[in-house]
Amino acid sequence: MDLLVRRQLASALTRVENRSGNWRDILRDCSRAGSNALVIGVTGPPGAGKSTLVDALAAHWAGMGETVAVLAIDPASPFSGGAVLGDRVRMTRSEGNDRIFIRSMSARGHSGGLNAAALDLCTVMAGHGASRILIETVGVGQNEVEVAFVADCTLVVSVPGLGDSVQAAKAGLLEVGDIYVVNKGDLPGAASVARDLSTMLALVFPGLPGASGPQADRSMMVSIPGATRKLLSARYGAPEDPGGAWHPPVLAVSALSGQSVGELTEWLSTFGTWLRQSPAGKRRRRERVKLQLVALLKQRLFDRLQQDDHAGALTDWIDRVLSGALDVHSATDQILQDKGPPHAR
Amino acid sequence: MAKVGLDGHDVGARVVARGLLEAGMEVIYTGIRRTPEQIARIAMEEDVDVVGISILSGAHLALVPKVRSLLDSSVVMVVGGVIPQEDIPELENVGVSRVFLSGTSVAEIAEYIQSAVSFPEESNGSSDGR
Repeated sequence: MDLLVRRQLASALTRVENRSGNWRDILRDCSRAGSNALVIGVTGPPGAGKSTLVDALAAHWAGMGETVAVLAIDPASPFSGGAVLGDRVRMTRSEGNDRIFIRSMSARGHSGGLNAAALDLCTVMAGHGASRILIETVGVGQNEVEVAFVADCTLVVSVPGLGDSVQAAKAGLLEVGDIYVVNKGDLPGAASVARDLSTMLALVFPGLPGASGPQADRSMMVSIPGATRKLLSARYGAPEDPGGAWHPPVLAVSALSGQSVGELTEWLSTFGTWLRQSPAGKRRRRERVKLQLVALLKQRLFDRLQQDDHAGALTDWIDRVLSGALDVHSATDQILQDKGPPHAR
Repeated sequence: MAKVGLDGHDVGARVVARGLLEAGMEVIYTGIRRTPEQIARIAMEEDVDVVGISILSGAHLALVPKVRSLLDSSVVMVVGGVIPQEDIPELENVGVSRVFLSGTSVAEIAEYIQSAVSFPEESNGSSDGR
């Protein structure tokens, strides 16, 4: 990425994130350019080593001739809206590399681990030549799974010492990974965390880690109700599909020393190949567009509601709920009735 | 918020960064011991409005002008730390907008930055320091 493109990208990202200036033109041009960029979401609890892992992956890919863009998200203050963005501090191997572009971003009041503009920013990065995009989410807890619906590949990072094996059985974050990484793999306990995760995954997914076809061994699997099975195979494919079903692998790595990072990138490209072949890949892309549309519609409808009422947006309604005259659901009905559907106004 | 040169003491930088967060700004912290080139590159990639250098090593006359020369002219640059009074004019001459000496309140720094940066209207009135 030469200096001029780097400058253009930096400025384009600001405009698209702030929804200012010619941001719509930028997005339109970047979407038109199309891309084969692989977007990798890296998520996990605070201090798990996400930034260090992103740094290691970016440096590895840059060494193989890829152009890598990093979007590192940190939380915003719920009070002032400000933020201290410190992910770059851990990215010393990538910084200064001509093939790597790093951008920090505040979540700006968006919950779920990302920023509302994250997908748009990925489009802009891809439009400026990035072939690999790494999104680092804010440090998440158990339930911030949004990134799994934004990225092509979701990397869930865990570390030893966060709890016992019951943690591995819980719902949420530990269900959405395409690849699980146990970072700080040199610490005691890493192998057992990896084993716990693998055991849980073997209950849900057929065969061995990686893509598995119709012959895959299912003896370890628990019986899963039809509706859940359907959702799972929408995301991970079925053994009968072209490309087979994806069984998420678990890897112990040390992002700091680089140990097993090469192996991780091999898994990522195996996953990329599966995603291209599997109908699940198409379904994921469809789902992503749908989610984007729903989010934008919600935002626009709400903005319109506020615009109509100026400052007093919901004040009267809030008062009526507080006084006991209305419950929140009836208030919502009435607000929507008053406003009517957007096309009727 | 950047630390330049062989200067590993960053409590001040982190306190100011935190204070600017409370003032509603988005602060990118570079970490310690960065070169002028690294700081310029970060400022460019992050498309910042302001670069703040915290320096306690005494090398400000050698390093600060170097950073300034590598930054885009539209970027506002402020410096804080251990700076002798008599060095301030020389820093201002090379394009440092303001030097904050020890004892300055974070509120004063925030206020100055808000007055020095023009925010485009389209940015929803958010007062971030980016």
